[in-house]
Amino acid sequence: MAVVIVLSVFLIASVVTIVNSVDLTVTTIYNYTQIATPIIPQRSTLSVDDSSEAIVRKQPGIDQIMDSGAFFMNINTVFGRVPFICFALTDPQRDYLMHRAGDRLTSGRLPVAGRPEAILSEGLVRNKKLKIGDIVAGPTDEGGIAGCPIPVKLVGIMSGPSWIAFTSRSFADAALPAMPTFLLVTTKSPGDLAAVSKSLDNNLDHAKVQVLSNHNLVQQLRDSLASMYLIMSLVNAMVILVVAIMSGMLSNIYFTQRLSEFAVLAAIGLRRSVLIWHAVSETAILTAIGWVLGIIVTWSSLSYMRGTVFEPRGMLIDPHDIVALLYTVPIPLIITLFAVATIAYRMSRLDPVAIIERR
Amino acid sequence: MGPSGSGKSSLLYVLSGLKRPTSGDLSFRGSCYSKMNDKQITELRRKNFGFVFQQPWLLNWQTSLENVMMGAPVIDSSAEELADKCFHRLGIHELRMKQPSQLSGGEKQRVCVARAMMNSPAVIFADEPTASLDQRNGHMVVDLLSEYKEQGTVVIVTHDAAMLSQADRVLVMRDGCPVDWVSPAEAAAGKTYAVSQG
Repeated sequence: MAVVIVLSVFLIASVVTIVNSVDLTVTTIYNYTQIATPIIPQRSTLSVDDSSEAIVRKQPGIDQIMDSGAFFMNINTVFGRVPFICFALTDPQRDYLMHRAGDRLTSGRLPVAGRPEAILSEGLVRNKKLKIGDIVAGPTDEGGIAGCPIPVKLVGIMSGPSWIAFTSRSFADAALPAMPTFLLVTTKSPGDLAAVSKSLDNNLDHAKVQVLSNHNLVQQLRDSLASMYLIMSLVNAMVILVVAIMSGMLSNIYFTQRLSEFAVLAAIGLRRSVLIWHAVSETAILTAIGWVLGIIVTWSSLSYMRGTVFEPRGMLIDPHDIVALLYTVPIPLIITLFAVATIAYRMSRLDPVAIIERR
Repeated sequence: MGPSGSGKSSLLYVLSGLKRPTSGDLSFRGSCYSKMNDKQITELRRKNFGFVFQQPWLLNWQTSLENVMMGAPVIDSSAEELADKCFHRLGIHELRMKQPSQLSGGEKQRVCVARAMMNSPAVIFADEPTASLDQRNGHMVVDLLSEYKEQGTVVIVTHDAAMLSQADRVLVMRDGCPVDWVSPAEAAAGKTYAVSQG
């Protein structure tokens, strides 16, 4: 019985976690927009126009407005290869953003100004299977929205919660003259960034610039994947329903087999309410233990699979996904419910002698 | 005692209130069974009777001690003390913290005897308590039940005359009717079998 619960919890938690990994990938890729909001020129221009910049500067709550260059590199995701931005900033601007992001350099060194060098977050390094000295992006890159005409070397790795990449502004100016520049906006209080970005999005002329706020980017991607999310939700619902009902039916069989025990207890004078209470407590303890073991098995398995299966394929996965854990809660509840219903029904028609005589 | 189908167990169930008689009535200490509802009969069994069945049914998820405590009129802290005394009295103290899965058939049945004695019943009803045991374990269980004669009545149903050496009286059953009262010695000598075979 406990093994059935462990397997059910493992199945549901794993399916939900894997399904949720798609959304986790989306939010992680655009995590940098929770630190700073890029305001990019529309395709016809190479930089943000003066009138738009003036509106941005008038916006209350802004801490810094950085003029940034960039190049793009390919990263692996569950959707295939997608371009990821590498900010080209001055040293003070880069240090400021690293501090804001909670990132710190853990190996290698910072890029030297003017050289084709970059530093990447460790998540990106793992995703691209790089080591220090490897090429981050170059003219031979396939796919992506823009490559880099000069091979850029990885010189340092940052650790921290965000996926972010930096190169020097002077390198971008010298080597990427045709690449558009854009504004990178931060707020005095990081918590205000969403509201300020929304305000800028409302005030700026969309014919001239685009505000790549975290909300906009994540929403755009989620909208484009709406059908996939619907399918994933249906898969979740079906798996949970089937596993819960099957577990409940197994619980029914389990208690039917043990009816003779309860018949004897009824014969020796235990009230039916006492027997039902015993069955409920036994089931509750059993399911609780099974549920905890199931969660431990799931967390251990997914942690192992994250490094060996998911990350090498560009899939981000959170083995300790709380949502997945919540999805498993119906299992012990339904099993307990089935057990109580079975026992209560059987007890109401119980003839101890008939069962004892059957021996 | 009597052969299979002679009505031994049915009589025991009727006497103990587990079955309602199709005709006639029974009373215990002046209370007629026919005037009691199911709840009152259950209460009568719990307070006044102890039971040992052929199969030593115990709750597998509880220790022997907890199983024995189930036989107490009220399951509270005093029940544990009472159960403990019961284990000591029956000389099976070493079994008290074991799970039923760790016990042999004979040990389980001895725990069932302890459970039957927990409420110090006026009558212990034992329905073929040795049928699923070997002779040695069977005698052990009968010895334990016999010790209770000082405190109350023990009614044992069996078809094995060898198990009745310590009985005071033996009622022979045949075709659903009591046929004769015999002594244990007569029962052991085969009189019952002769009687029951007509």
